[in-house]
Amino acid sequence: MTTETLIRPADETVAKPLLSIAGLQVRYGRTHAVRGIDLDIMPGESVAILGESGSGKSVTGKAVMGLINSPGKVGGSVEFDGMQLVGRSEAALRAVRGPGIAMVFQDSLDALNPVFSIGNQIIEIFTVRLGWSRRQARDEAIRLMLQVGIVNPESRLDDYPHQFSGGMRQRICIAMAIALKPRLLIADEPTTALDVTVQAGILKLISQLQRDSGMALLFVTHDLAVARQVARKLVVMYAGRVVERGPINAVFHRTAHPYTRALLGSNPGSVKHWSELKPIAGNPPDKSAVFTGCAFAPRCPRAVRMCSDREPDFVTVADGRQSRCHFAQEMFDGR
Amino acid sequence: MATQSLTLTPPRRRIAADSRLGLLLRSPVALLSALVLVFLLLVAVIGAPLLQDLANTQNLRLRFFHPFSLERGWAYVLGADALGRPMLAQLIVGARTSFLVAGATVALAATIGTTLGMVSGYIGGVMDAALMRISDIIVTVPSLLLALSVLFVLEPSIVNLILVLAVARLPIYLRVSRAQTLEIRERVFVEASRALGKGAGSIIWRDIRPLVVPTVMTVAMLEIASVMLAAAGLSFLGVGLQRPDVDWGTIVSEGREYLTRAWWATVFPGLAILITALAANLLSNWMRASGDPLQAAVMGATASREEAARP
Amino acid sequence: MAADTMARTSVLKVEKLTKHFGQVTALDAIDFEVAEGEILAVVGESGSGKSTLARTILRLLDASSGRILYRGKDLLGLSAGGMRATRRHIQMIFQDPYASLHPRRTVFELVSEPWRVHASVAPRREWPHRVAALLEQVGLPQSYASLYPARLSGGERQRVAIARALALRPDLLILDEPVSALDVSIQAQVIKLLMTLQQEIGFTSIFISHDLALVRLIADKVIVMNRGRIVEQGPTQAIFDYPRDDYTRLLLASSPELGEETTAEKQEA
Repeated sequence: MTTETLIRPADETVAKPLLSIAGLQVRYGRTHAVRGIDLDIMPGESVAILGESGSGKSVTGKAVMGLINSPGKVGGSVEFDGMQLVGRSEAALRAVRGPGIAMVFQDSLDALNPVFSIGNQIIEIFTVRLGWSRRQARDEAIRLMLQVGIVNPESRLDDYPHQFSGGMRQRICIAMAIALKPRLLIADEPTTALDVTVQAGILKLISQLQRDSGMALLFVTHDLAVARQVARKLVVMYAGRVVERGPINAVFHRTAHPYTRALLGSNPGSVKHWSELKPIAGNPPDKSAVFTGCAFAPRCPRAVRMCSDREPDFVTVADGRQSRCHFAQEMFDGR
Repeated sequence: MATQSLTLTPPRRRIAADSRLGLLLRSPVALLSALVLVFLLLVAVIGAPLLQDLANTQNLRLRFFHPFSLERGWAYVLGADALGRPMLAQLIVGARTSFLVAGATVALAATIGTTLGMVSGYIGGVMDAALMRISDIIVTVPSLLLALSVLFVLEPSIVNLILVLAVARLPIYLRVSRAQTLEIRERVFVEASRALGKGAGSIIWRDIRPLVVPTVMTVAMLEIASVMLAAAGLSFLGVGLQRPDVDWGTIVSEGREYLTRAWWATVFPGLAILITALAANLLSNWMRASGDPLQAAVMGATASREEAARP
Repeated sequence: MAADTMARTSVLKVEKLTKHFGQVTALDAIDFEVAEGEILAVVGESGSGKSTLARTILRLLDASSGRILYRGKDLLGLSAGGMRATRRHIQMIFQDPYASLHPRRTVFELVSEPWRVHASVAPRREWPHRVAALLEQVGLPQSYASLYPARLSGGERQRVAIARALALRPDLLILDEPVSALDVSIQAQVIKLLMTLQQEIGFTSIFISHDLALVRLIADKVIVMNRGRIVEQGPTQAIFDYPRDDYTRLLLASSPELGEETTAEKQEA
C-alpha cells in the first residue's frame, strides 16, 4: 500500500493541522444532522467527505464555514489554524472567510447575484476586502477569470450570471472563492448539477488550483468516482457520523466498513452486468432517530446483536486507516 | 431474484395518518373557533324562529335601555335600541340572516368562481382571455355601486341580495383558482396523468381541484366577514334587507346614529361580526394546514421525515 | 445480446421525427427502432433532446413533423381519444418521484388510478387484490397502501411509480432518468427491481439516461444524442468499446469510472 505512506507521516507528527474538527454536532430541534464528528485537515491536504443525502456531509461543510443559521445549533469544536470558530461572532468569522476558508456551492446560479454583472461581483471582493482601486481590482479580476478558464475575460466582465452556461458560472464561483487566496477551499457538490463533460473540466480545474496554490481542499460529494478524482483522503459519513476514513485509494482497494463496501457494491461502475449489483437494503435512517448502537446496523449484512446495543468506537486497522465497526479488523483482513 | 435484499422493514415512524378530528382536538385555538361557530349556528337556527316577534317588538319606554341588567328579563340583558327593541333577541334573529346571506353568497361565488377559474386556467385560450376581461370589469366597478344599481332595479330581497353579492365577489375566486391552476398544470404529476390517458375534465376534477380547494376555503372563510359587512352597507343604503328581516349589518348601521348615546346598539352586533370573522379565520388557517398531508404529519405527534420538508 | 433483434417484431419505429420550439430545433429528424423485449438506452446531456424525445413519443408534446409508428400504427395520426386509449400500452416513469406522484393521494389510490382511467382493465372489486399484488411485485409492504407519498422515501416513491406504470401491463415502458434523483445505494435497488420485472414481464423499454455506467449494465442498444440529433447508435457493446463519433468519445472519456487511476495520483507521478 504505497498510498498510505504518501500521507507524509513524518510531517504529520510535527505539523499542526490547518483545520481540526472535534466532536462537531449540528442539531435542528429534534433533528440531528451531524452527530459528533472528528476530522483533521493538514495544510495542502485534499479530503473528500462522501455520503448520501441526509448523511450530514453538506451540513459539516457549512458548519466549518459558520453558515448554520438559527434554529440550527452547533456544538463541539472547529479550530482553524489554532483559532476556535464555534461560537465566534459574525464579524470574526467574516475575517476568516475569504483569506482563510472559502466555499463553492452546488448551485452556481443561486450563489451569484443576478442583478450585478460578473465583473462587478469579482471586483467588489478586492475593493471592499482589500481596499484596492477599481482599476487594480479589474486587472486582478481578468487574471482570475483567465486562471479558471474563461476565454476573453475582458469582454465578459460586463455579462450577467444568466448569460453564462452552468459550467462557466461554476468557474466564476471558483474564481471568486480563490480570489483572496484561501488556505482551505470547501467545495459542496460543485459538479452535481453539471453535465459529465462539463464536470470533468471543473474537477480538473479544482485539482490543478489546489496543487498549484497549496491550499487545502474539503470536497463534499455523494459520488465515489468524483471523490477519487480530486481527493487523496476519504472520509465516509453515515447518519451524521464518520464511519470510515483513510487514504482514498487504500479505502477503495480494501474497505474496512460494511457501509463503504456496500456503497461500492451498489455502484454501477464497479460491475459488468446489472445482476451483479449489490444494493443496500432498506432506507437511510431518519435524522430524528435515536441510536443506541451502530446506525448502519439495521441495513448491515454483517450485523449481530451487539451492533444494535453498543456503538462501535473507531478501530485503527492500519496506518492512517480507521473504521467505526465492531468487525473493522475482520473486514480489513478479508475475513 | 433480489427480492430478499429488497424487503423493507416497516419502520416505527409510519403511523397511519391521524384523523382530522383527532388533530382538531389537539389544537386548542382551532377547537375553540369551531365551537364558537357551531354555537352561533345553533343559536341562529334554533333561537331565531322563537324570537322573531320579540326582536321586532317596539317599546318606546325601553328606549336605550342599559345593558347588563336583568330587570326586564334576559332578552334585554344586552340593552335595547332607539325603538326599545331588545338587543339580544335582535342579535339572535340577525345571526340567522347574516349566516344565510354570507354563507350562501360565499358558497355560490366560490363554487362558480373556482370552477371557472380551474377550467379557464387549465384549458386557456380564448375562453380564458374572455373570462379574465369580464372579471377585470367586475373588479373595476365598485361592488357597492354594482349591487346598488342592480338592487335598485330589481326588488330588494334576500335572494337578489345573495345573487348580486355573489357576482361582485366572483373575481376573487376566479383569480385565486386560476393562478393556482396555472402553477399546478405545469407539475409533473399532471404530465403523468396525461401520460396515463386522462382527459382534461378528469385532470381538473381529480388532480387540480384537491389542491385548489384548500386555498379557496381559506379565502372563502375570510370573505364571510366582508360579505356580512357589504350586506350591512346595502341595508344602510336602503337597498339591502328591510325590516322585519334583519341581519347584524343592519343592526350596526341603525345603531350607528346613536353611537354616543347608546354604544351597545352598535358594539354588540359589531362584536358578533368580529367574533364570527375571527373564528372563521382561525379555523380556515387550521383547515388549510391540516388538509395538507405534510403539515398534518408535522401537526400530529409523528415525526416527519427529512424528505417531508421538501417543497 | 442484440444480435437477434433484427428478426424480432418492431414495437416502436420513429421516422424523421422533428420538433421545433420556436426557432430552436429540439429534435432533428430522429430515426430509430425498438424491437420487442429490447432495452434501448437514449444517452445524452442536458439540452440533447432526450427528454423531449420521450415526451414527443407519448404526445405530451406535439411533434412538428415525422412519424411515430407503434406496432405499425402512426401515433401522430390518432385522434385525442384514440391516443388516450393507446396510452394504456405505452407507459412512462418520470425522473423525480417527489414530483410525479399526486401529493394528496394515497398509495392505493395512486396505484389503482390507471384502472379508473382505463376501466376495462380491472373491475373495481379486483382493485384491492391487484394493488396488493403490485405492491408485492415492487417490494413494498402492504401497509403502505394507506400512506401518502410524503411519508415515503425517494426509493419507495419510485417503486410506487413503477407499480402504477405496471398496473396497465404496458407493452412499452419509457423510463425518463428513473433513478437519477435517488441516492446511489437506492439507485441500485430500483435498477435491480426494474430489470427483474423486465425479465419477468418482458416489456420493451426506452431508457433515457445521462449515466453511462448504468446504461452499459442494462441496455441492448444505445442511441447517443447531442443537440437534438442522434450522433451514433448501435449495440451497447459496440458503442462502449468502439465509439465512432467524437462526441460519444468525449462523453465516455468524461464519465468518471471507478477503475481508472485518480487525477491526484496522476499529478503525483
